[in-house]
Amino acid sequence: MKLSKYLYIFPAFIITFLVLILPAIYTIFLSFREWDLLMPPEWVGFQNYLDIVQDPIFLHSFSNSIAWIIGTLAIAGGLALFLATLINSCSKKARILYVIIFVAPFTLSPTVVSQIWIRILQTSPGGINSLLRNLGLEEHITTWLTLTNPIIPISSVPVLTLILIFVYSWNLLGLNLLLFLVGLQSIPAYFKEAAKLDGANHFQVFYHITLPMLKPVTLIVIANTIINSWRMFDIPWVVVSGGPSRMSETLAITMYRQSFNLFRTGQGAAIAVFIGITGTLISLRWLRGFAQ
Amino acid sequence: MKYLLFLKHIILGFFSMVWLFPIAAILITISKSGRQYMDLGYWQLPALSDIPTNLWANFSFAIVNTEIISGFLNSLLYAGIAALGAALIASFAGYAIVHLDVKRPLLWFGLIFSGNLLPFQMYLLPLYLSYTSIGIYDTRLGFALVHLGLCIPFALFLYRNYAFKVLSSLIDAAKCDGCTDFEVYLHVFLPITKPAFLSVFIVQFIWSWNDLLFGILLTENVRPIMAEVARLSPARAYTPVPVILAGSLLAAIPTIVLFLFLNQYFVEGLKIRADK
Repeated sequence: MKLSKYLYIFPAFIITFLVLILPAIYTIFLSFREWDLLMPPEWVGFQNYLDIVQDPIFLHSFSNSIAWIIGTLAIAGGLALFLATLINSCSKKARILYVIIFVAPFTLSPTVVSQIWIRILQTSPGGINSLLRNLGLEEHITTWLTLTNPIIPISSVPVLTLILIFVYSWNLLGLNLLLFLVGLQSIPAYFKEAAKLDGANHFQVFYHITLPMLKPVTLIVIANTIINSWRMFDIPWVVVSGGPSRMSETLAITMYRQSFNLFRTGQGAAIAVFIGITGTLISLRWLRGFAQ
Repeated sequence: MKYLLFLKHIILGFFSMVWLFPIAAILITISKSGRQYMDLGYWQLPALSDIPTNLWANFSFAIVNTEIISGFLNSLLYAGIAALGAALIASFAGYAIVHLDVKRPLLWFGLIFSGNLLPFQMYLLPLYLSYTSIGIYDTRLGFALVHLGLCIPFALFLYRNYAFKVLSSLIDAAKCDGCTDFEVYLHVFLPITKPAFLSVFIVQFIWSWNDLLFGILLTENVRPIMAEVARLSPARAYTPVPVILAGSLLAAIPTIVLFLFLNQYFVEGLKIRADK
């Protein structure tokens, strides 16, 4: 009779164990082997890890993924907070209008968003080039989807990565904006009134009242944005397949290519473990933030 | 003060335009025929009398000549099973972990929730290898099972947090009246946690519907919707660009509708994380 309590947990446990926990353990095992799916596998210890940290493609994807985190935090996070504070002080009608405008892209999936932006970024016919031509800015017309020149000389992150980051931010900003608005509206008005009576200006109120009160929501936004960027696959994959010449690959795409296109399963698994460990550390840090 | 107000609307107006211009691009593009898309300027509308015929032609082409509809139906099945299944299974587990005195409740929760901490890349290779070797690669049942598994950890996270809001005294009272554990679950716990159930359902349905990665990895013939959308290209079967965007828009209908009517549950679902 006592065991029957565990029957309630059993379905959740057995399915997650089979579909998630067991595969994760097996990935760690695979990362210590070299196996092309044809020849018998070979145990190579940490060789796969040594190989990937020397692989220029992995290092390149790594810097792309870091750029993804910084870029989406700035645009989908920072800009969302800025717009949310502006929208929050609008009249009710204006507020609803702006929310609809900014949240609309979030109802589309990254795959659909990619399909739309391919046509906007294409050379001809293309939305941006056509706009530039109409504005008489013909000298800026370019092949947007092959901009592989680096943003800043010291890093190899191409301008194309920045464009893709903007595409995703266009998609994601609405969710963050919505969360910030919910957070802003839960701040009692008399807090701000009291601060203003004490002689605080707009920026002091924002810095000393609004920001601290927004902390729980900000943690969700930051964590959500970082985790989604760190495992970003869909947008670079659908828009340019990680190209040209693997220049816009993220870690998730490099892992996929090494594993399922080049059949270097050991290296693929090693990259997966790398994303896994770093991703888990980020998630745990985030969970601890909530516990406070 | 007047000046600041003016500046605020200039800034919001500017970003609104930036955010709206891709939406305008879709609407203009699907109003054209494939020929007009190539010949007219990108931002130029065709003659107004052409628009209804073009819209009709683009959507019917997308429905008849691409695999969008089969992907759509597949995904209704996958997302339905994953979201409903995860909500139900998480409600059972959340009930037991919070309200039945199982030993080490935190350990059980941690074990199941660990599936949500790990990035998806940790599961890809073993899932692909095991699915091909036991013969459930490219089957509807196999794919629905993966999506169900991927949905459970986060569903339990939401459900467990909400379960704490159900008063233990209420559960104890029902037990004193002679209810069995299952009767308490059915008549007390489940009705009270209905908002959590809906949140889990919506968040997971949208996740499953939008998933691309597992779709291209584990299916070939029983593809979910986003794997079909990703494949649309003028290079494949001469699909004109207006048809591609019409098809993409069809693929977005369920998430648009869900979000339109049930957005408060979606936001609640994400906010529950902050409460706990």
